[in-house]
Amino acid sequence: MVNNKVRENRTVFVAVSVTVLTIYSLLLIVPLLWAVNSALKNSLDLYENVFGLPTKIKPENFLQAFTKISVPINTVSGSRSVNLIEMFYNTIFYAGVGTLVVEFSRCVCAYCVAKYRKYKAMRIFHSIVIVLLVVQLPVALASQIRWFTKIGVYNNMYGLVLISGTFTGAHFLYFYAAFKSISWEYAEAAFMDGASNFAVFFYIMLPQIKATFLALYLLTFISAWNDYSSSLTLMPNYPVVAYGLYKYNSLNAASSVPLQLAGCVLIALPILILFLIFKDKLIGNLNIGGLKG
Amino acid sequence: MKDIERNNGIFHNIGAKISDFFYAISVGIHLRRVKNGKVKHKSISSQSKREVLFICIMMAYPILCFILNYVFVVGDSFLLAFQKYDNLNQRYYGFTFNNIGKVFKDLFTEPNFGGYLKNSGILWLISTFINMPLSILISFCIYKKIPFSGFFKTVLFLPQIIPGMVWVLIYKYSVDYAWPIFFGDFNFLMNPKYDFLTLVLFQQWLSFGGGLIIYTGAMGRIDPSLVEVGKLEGFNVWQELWYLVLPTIYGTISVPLTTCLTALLTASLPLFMFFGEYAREGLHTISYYLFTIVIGNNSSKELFPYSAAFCIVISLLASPVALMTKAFLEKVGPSED
Repeated sequence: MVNNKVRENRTVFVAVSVTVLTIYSLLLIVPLLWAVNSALKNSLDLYENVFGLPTKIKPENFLQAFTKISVPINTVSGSRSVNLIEMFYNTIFYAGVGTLVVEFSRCVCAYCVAKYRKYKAMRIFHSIVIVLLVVQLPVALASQIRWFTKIGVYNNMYGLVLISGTFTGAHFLYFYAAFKSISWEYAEAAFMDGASNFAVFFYIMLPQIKATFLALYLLTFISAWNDYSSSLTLMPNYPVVAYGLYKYNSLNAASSVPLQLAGCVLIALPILILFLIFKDKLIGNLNIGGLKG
Repeated sequence: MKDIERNNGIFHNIGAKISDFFYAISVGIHLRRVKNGKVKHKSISSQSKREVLFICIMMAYPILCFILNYVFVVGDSFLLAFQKYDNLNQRYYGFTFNNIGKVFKDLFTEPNFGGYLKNSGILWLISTFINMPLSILISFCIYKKIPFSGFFKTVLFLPQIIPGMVWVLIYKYSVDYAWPIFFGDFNFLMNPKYDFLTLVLFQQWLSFGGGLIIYTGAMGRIDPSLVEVGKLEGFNVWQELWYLVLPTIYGTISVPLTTCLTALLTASLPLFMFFGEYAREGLHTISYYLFTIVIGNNSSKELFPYSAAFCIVISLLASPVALMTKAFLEKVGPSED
């Protein structure tokens, strides 16, 4: 009797959740498909035939998007336009290298804190990271601009990437948990073989947490790829693709809509492919735990 | 999918082989040095020195970045909050409490700020009491492996993958082109009666899958024996969620709650992406206001000290609340036992 009730309850749960999630999924997928379909039309076709398939497919919208979607910038040698190709380069550098710098810094610090806890400094370091997660110290955008201008990294993508290697943030805790779960006996065996602390870290410990590293790298990479505010606030002369789309739209709202939608597809596609390849590594593999410290 | 797994397997093997190769080389070099009598016995103190040296070398760069990117910015925020701007010489100077005083005055007496606070508050309430529970529920469905959960997992995460600006443009143009077919020429986004609600719905539409990674990760670590015990006790799905899952992932859920006041004061809509610096006053949130006085055509260097003072006030108000909330949540929270 009890079992029947439980089974009935489970059936209701499954039916309701599948129905609700299907509707929600459709609400997400349909606009995306509409955008891809519209990106293959010309403006008139889009206006007259909003939902239908393109009367004449225009793949050239995608090629034109690379050159036509551009953003004006002011440099010391005058003003010029940055097209989507250059924006892709900026984004790949900013998101790819910047993410590597910041995640590797967190990884290294988390390793030192997790495995060399016998030193008081490491325990203090751990507490600092946790306190900074809970207590929000003021980081005024105005001060960021003023200070970064002073040290010469404002409006300088390479400089900003260079100083981005801070260790704070929740990702530190993921790395910390990952290193904590690895037995130190591996390291002791390696020390017997004559391995140095560096060899133990790079050849023994780092390979064991590469799934965590990859997942965190991808998470940060995705958010850096999608970030339009860095170009808007700190490096206006190095527009990334998300900012380029924003700026182009705000300056040329009346321009070809299919062209802008083609730009949207081009910007979303690389990150979507990356996600589809690595989604199993991303979802369900991370655990932050609490903030006890 | 199998190809991807195979590729990952190949990458894994290559990575492991490279790592083994270098490790074997370092061991080989060490053995040769031992054979030649070049390696001295390491005393405990020399091992400690090596460890300290290792820690110093490895952490020097992150600490330097932390100082440049965080400590000095926080320090400058404090400094800037107490300075005035000299329009003539275009420099910040002096020491004044006027900025902090003005922030408090604006917060409690300026009618516009009442509106900003109200908007921020509504957004925070929605994200904490509607969005978060629904996110947990969705993650629970995925965790329970309902039919097509793999498909849902991918689709629900799409809003986090695809740039916000892409969604904004798709939304904008679907409102321009597709909506008139259903709603006539009525534009919800441009109507002051509906624009706030429309933007809230837009934001919520994209954010239900936001907690998927964290929550499914936490749920995936629930001890299967606990679930078995629940089954034997005759738990239905809701009892499993309430008595097993929620207490186990409590640590994860409580993290965003600890910073609730900061979240309340900084809750925002994608106003800048939709309207740039020209959003209607009635839509403003505190964070949008603070952003637009520093960036865009409405910004002014004269207002930089005021914006820094605002950040300090937010920190002053939010930090004790965060610490108290953390202590409270730890005290009242369920034990995993």
